[in-house]
Amino acid sequence: MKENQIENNKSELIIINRYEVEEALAKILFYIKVSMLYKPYEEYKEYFKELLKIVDKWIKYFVENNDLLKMSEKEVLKAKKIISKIPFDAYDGIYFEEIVNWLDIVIYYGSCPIGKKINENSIIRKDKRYK
Amino acid sequence: MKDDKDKIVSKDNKTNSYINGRGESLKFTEKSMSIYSDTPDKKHAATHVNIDHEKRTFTVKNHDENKSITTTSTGNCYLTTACMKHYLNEFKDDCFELTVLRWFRDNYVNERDVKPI
Repeated sequence: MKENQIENNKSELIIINRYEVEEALAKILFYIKVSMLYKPYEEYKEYFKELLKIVDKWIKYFVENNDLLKMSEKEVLKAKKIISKIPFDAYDGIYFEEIVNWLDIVIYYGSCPIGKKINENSIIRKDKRYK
Repeated sequence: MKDDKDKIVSKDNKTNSYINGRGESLKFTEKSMSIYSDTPDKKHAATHVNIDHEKRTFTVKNHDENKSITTTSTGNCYLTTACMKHYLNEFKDDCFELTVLRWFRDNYVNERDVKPI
C-alpha cells in the first residue's frame, strides 16, 4: 500500500465529544473482558490480560483529564504489538475483530483533543510509527 | 478490466482504514487484510484474508452483517475458494467478496511479490 499516495479527503472541522470516546472505551473494555472469558480464546488469555492493563490506564487518563492525550506512543505500540501476536485463527470468534477495530478508534481519540474544533487532517495518529 | 470503484479514494483516519469507490473499508495488519462492507465501527459484513508467504497458501474467513454466518476457506486459489464455497449455486461474479478479493490480488498480493494465481 503506497500510503503517501492516498489522501485523506476529510478536511472539515470536527468536534469529538465525550460520548464518542466513552463509547469507544466501553466497547474495547467489553470485548477484551468477554474475550478473556470466551472459551475458544483460552490460549490467548494472557494477551488479553496484557491489553486490559493498557486499556485500564487509558480509562484512568480519561477520567482524570477528560481526554486521552496522556496516552503514550509507547503504550500504543505495545497494544498493537500484543494484537499482532494473536494468531489469525482468532478471527474465528466474533470478538477479536471488534478488539482490533475499537483499538484503532481509541488510539484515534487518544491522538486529538476532545470537545474542541479541530481539522481532521491535522490529527497525527499515535500509532503512525507502528509497522 | 479493473473497475474504477476498486480504487482507493480516501483514508479514514478514525478507523485506520482505506475506503474504495464502493464505500468498502480495507484494513491491513502485519498478517492479514480485512475488507468491510462499511466502516468497521458500523454494522458490516467482513472478509479477513491471511497469506502464508512461505507456504504460499491462504486462509479466508467471512462473516455476514449479523455475524451469524461465518465461513473459513483455505487453499491456493483464494478467489475461487472464498466465493464458490460460500455462495455455491448463488455465486455472482460481482459479489462483495469477489470484488474485494480481486482488488486484494491486484493491489496488494502482487506488490508483496507473492506468485499471482
